[in-house]
Amino acid sequence: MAHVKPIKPLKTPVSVTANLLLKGLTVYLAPDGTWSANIADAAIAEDLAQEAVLLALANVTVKTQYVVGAYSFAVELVNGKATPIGMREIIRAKRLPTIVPDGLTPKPEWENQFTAANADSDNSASSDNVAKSNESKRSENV
Amino acid sequence: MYKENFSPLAPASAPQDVKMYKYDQFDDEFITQRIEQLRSQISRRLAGELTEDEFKPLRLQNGVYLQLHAYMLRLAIPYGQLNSTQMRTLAHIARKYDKGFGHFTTRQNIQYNWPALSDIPEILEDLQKVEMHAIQTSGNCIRNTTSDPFAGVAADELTDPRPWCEIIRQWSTLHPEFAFLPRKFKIAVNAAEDDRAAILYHDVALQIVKNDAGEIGFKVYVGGGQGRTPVIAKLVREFLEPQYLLSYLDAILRTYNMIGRRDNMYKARIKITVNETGVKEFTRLVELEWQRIKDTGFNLPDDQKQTIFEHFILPKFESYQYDDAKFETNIADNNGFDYFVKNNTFGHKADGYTIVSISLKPHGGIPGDISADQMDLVAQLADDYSLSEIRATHRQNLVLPHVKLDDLFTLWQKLSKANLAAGNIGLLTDIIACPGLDYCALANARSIPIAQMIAEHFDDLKKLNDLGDITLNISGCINACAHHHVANIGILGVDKKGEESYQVTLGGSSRKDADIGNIIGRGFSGDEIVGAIDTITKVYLAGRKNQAENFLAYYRRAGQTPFKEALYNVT
Repeated sequence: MAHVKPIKPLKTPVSVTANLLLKGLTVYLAPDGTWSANIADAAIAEDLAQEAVLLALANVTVKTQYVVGAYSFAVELVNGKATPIGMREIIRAKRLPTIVPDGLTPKPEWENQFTAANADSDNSASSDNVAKSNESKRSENV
Repeated sequence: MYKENFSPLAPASAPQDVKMYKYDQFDDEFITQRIEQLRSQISRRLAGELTEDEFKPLRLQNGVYLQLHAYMLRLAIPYGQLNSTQMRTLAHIARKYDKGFGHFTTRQNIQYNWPALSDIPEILEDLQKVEMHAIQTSGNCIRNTTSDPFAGVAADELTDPRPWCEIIRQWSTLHPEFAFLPRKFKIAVNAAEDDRAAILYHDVALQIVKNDAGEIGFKVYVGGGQGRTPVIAKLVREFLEPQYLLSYLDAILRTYNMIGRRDNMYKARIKITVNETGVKEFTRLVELEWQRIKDTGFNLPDDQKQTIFEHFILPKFESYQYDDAKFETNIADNNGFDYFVKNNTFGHKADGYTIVSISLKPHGGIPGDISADQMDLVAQLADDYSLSEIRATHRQNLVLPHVKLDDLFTLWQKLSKANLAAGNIGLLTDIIACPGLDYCALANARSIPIAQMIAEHFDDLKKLNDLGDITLNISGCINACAHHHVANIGILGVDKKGEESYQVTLGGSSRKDADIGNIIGRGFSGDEIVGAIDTITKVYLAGRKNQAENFLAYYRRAGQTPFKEALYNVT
C-alpha cells in the first residue's frame, strides 16, 4: 500500500497578495486567478497543499508581468472572508496609510484605482518566482 | 489639482539667479541618456524581457522603490539646496504624478509615495528641466552628500562647505569604481561651529577646520552610522590639505571596497569594517593607499575647482537700516511671532538679514510632509523674501536662507495662513519621523501616528519653550531612518508578537557632543507611549537645576535612575 503523505495544516489560513507591476498598488488573488483590490475577494488556503496551488496560480500573473512580489500571508476568517491579522497587512488591505497628510481628504479614486483583470490561466504554473510566506523577501533596503 | 498650464519656468514673479551649481551641456546630455536608459528598462520590464530580479537593481539606482501601497520615488537635493523654480517643479510633480504632497527626508531629499512605474521617465524629464534627478538616491553607492542647511550664510561657520559638497557630488556620481560598494555610503561636510548635519553618523564626515598656520583643510572621520549598529565616526586624519580631498576619499573608498564585507549585508557598512579592522589599522591602510595615489591619482585641477567655487559666490546683500522698534513691537503684539523669532531664526553673515526655518511639523501634522500648494507658496516666498533660495534640512524642515529682518513679520504672517509658521524648531514637537509602517515595506511599526499624538499632547508653545532645547526622533524599524539613536529622546517601533511596541532611548545627540542613546527599559504600547514621554519630560522639569540646564545636560548629570523610577516604579 502506497504511503500517503499527510497534508500539513497551516497555523492560520492564508491568502495571497502582490502589487500591480504598473502602479504598485496592493491586490489579492481571487479563487478564479484574477486579482482584486478588495481583500474580501481573496482566495483562502487552509493547508500547505492549497497554499501551493494559490501561489502557483499567482505565479502565472507574475510571469505575465501583471503583478510583482506575490506572497502568502496569515489571515483569519470573518464571516467566511479573509481578514488580515498583522498591522502590516491591515494597512496594506486599507490601501492607504492610517493617516492622511494634513489638508488632504482621501478621494474615492484612491480606493478604486484598480480594475481587476483576468490572469492567463492557460499558462503553466510554477511557484519558483513566488515568495512563500516570507514578506521580508520583498522589502528593499533603504 | 493639476495645472495644465504648468511651466516650471514661469512662476508668478521671476526668480533670482540663485548661486548654486548649474548644469552644463555634458550634465544635460548625461541626464538625457540616463532617462532614456531607464525608460528602456521599464519598457523591457513591462514587456517581460526583464525579470523583477533583473529590474530591481536598475530601478533602485534611479531611486525607485516598491513600498507597501505603491512605488516610491526618491529625488536628490544636493546638500539640500533648491531654488524656487525647482520647488515649483516639485509641487507640479506632486500634483500630476502623486497625490498632491511630498515628504522631505533626513538625507535632505524628497520622496513621493504614489508614482506609477510608467510615469517615472516623465517625472525625470520634468526634473531635468530644472537640473534635478534621482540618481544614486538608492543602491550600494555613494548617496547624496549632506551639509549644514545654513551653509554659506551661517554666522558661526568658517567657510562655505557647499563647493566642497559639489566637488564630492561630481566626483561620486557614477564613479565607476564605487558603483557597487559592499553597502550604501554617505558623506557629510560641515564648516560651522555647531553640527546641524549629524556628520559624525556618516560613513565619512568632513569637518572643515583651520590649522595653526591659518590654512583651511579637513578633519576626516570614518565609520559613523546608525541602523542596527549605531557608531560615532572615528578620527582618521587631523588635517587634510584641501587639494588632496578627492585622492584621500578615493583611498578611503578603495580600502573599504577591498576589505569591506560582502558576505553579510548587516556587517557590510564601513562602520563594521573599521570596527573589525581596528581604526589604527584601517587608517594605516588608507594612508598607505593614499601615499601611493596622492600625487598620481585624481585631484581636482585648480581651474575646475575655481569654476565650481564661482557657482557659490554669495549674492550681494542689501545694506539698509532696519526698523528695530517696529520689529520689537511686532514681537510684543503678535502671539506666536515671538516664538517664531526665538526658535526659527538664526544669525546670518550679513547685517539686517536672518536665516528662517520653516517647520514642517505643524500641530498634528506629518513630519516632513508638505502639500503641493505649500510648496508653491514656499517658492513664491523664496522669490519675494529670500533671493529665490530654499534649503531642506536633515530634520525634515525647510529654510529660507536670506530674509531681511524688515520682511520677517510679513513672511511670518504669510506662512501662518498656510499652516507653516509653527515656532517649534528645536523643541520637542520638531520631531523627526520616518514614514514607518504607514508606507514603508521595511517598517515594523507606525511612526507618524505616534508623532502626531505626541504633538497633540505637547501643543502648548509656552510649555514647549519651557522644556527648551530637546530632540525627539521616531523610527519605525531598526534601520533608523529617523535617527532615533541620536535623539535626546529616541523612539524605536518594533513588532512584539504581532503588536506594535515602542522602545525608548535617552541621551543621544547628533551634534558636536555626539552620543548614542541608551535604552531605558521595556517598551511601551502605542497607547502608553505618549504617557511615557510625558513622564520623561516631567522628570526632567522636576530635576533640572534651572532652565539653562537642558534635557541632555540633565540626563548626563542625573543618569537613567530618575527616569527608570518614574517610568517603571523601580527604585
